[in-house]
Amino acid sequence: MSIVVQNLRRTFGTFQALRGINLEIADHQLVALLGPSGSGKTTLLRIIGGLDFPDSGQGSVVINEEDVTDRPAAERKAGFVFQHYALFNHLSVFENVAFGLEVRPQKIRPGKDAIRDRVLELLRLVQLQGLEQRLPSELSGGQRQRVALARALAIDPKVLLLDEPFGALDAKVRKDLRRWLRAFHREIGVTTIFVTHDQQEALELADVVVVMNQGQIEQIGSPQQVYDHPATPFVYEFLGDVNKVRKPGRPDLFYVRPHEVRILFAGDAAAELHATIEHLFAAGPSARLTLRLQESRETLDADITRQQLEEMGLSEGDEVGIHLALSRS
Amino acid sequence: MSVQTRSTQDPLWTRVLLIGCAVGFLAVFLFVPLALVFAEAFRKGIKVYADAVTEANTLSAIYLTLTVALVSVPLNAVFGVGASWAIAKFSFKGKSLLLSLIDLPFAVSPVVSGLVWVLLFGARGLFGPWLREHDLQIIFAAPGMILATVFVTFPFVARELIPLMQAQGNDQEYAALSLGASGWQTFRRVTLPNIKWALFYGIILCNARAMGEFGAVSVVSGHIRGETNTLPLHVEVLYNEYNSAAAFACASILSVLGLLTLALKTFIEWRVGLRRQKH
Repeated sequence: MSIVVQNLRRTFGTFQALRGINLEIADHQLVALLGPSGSGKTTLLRIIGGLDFPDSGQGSVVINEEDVTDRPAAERKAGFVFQHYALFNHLSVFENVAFGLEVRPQKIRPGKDAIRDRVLELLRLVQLQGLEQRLPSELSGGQRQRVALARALAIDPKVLLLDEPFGALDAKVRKDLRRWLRAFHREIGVTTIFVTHDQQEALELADVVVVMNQGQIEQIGSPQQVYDHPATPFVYEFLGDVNKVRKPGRPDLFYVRPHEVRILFAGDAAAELHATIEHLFAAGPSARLTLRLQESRETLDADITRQQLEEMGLSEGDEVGIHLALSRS
Repeated sequence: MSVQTRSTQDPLWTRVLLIGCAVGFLAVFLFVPLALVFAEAFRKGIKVYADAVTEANTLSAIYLTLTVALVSVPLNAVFGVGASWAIAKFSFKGKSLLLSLIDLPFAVSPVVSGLVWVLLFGARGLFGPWLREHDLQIIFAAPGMILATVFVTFPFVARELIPLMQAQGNDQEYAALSLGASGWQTFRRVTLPNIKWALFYGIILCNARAMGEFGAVSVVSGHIRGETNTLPLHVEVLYNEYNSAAAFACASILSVLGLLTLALKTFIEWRVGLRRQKH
């Protein structure tokens, strides 16, 4: 379902967590809220889910064309998955997933058998069949995460909200679960927003990346858009490696990604700058050069292919020419 | 390695001395007095003991003690859970003031805790004339003793729960709310199961103090035999009358209550430890 957030502000004491957020999310999208800690992304997620509220009169949240700004969480049907899962420790996996159905008013509560069928179906969906009698403490981190997901899905949420869904997992599990969530989202198609501070995660997983900084949105766009065409210096620096360089005779700063630095022979006429190779590291298909610019004494990182490295016969201490393939100020 | 074996590397005499000191101290200050209570109680034989504990005034004192505890402990359980809930799960102005107020009964002498009620509800107290007009008696009657006991035992439940609830945070409650649970359902199905052992523990401590309270209750009781004497007050009355066999007999009942409390407390600690191991 679509989500529209308008002009949202949230202040904690004197700290402005959100300063005027405007955001539109279309149906079925998988959206990443990306930013450093303290950027307000979790606060925004909690306000969309109804677990926190904007400063009074400051902004609105509309889910599926219905203004829910002042509605409590219970009425929003937003499935929320917490960073540390927040599973009910005293209840079994089955009871955890069934919770959202069991607490419904008697009139709309499904029968015992219907609840049972639904819970088992959800556990099959998140690949946890057979574990329904376990307690949360008897599960691994990845399994707990999926129980939390199944529990959130049990209420047929209009929107799924995930707070740092992979934050507490080790690298291997995180990677597997990331891939799994991508496929899972394609399968269920529920509009999903997840919070992350990991740019790799946001770029790999999301249809739309919302980059946040200091309570404001810096840029909204597809992963490719925000990576290739950063709207602000912050986005440039936050997404991927970046060099800041000055060309001779010009005062403005250029942002250049390492793979956009073209390495030429020192005598090449196309060279805009000249540098010495300070350090060379070659592993995998590409090589990383750390260069010291002769003109300004600044350092610069450059990625080139192994093939180019071998063809040019480069080694540490060599002098090279540089052309900045794509440069924006 | 050295850290692991240090405790057993201390010379034998050090260990004997330290353990001996601890055991000796406990024996002199705890076991011996406790044993003496029972020895004194049964010194003149089981018949005297039985007579003393079944005497009408003693039975009335037991009855009053249980009534006071039965009313004030549930009240404080409800107040305590409410206060801890408010303090641990919400932030609001005056929170630290509320915390200090909860500790107030610990800081104030029980005599003062009793006098407060006399000043409010006594014959010359603030509401004294009004109460007399409506023929209501609070001071020198059970209601006053319940009020005093509630005041004195207020912190026990809250003090047990606040640190635990603060440590548990709000995420599970938020999760329940986002799943559509009402406030009451959230409390009953999520919060209460998470705090039940600490709550039980707090209630036991509260109960022990409620039954054993002397100072505050003494001020508001009026010491009317067979009517407004709780067990601790009854023990004092008997002792002052040089009826030491009966005094110690009643004291032994209080001691048994205390030992029961201790056993329950140990049981709960064992249960909680078991749960921790399992998790």
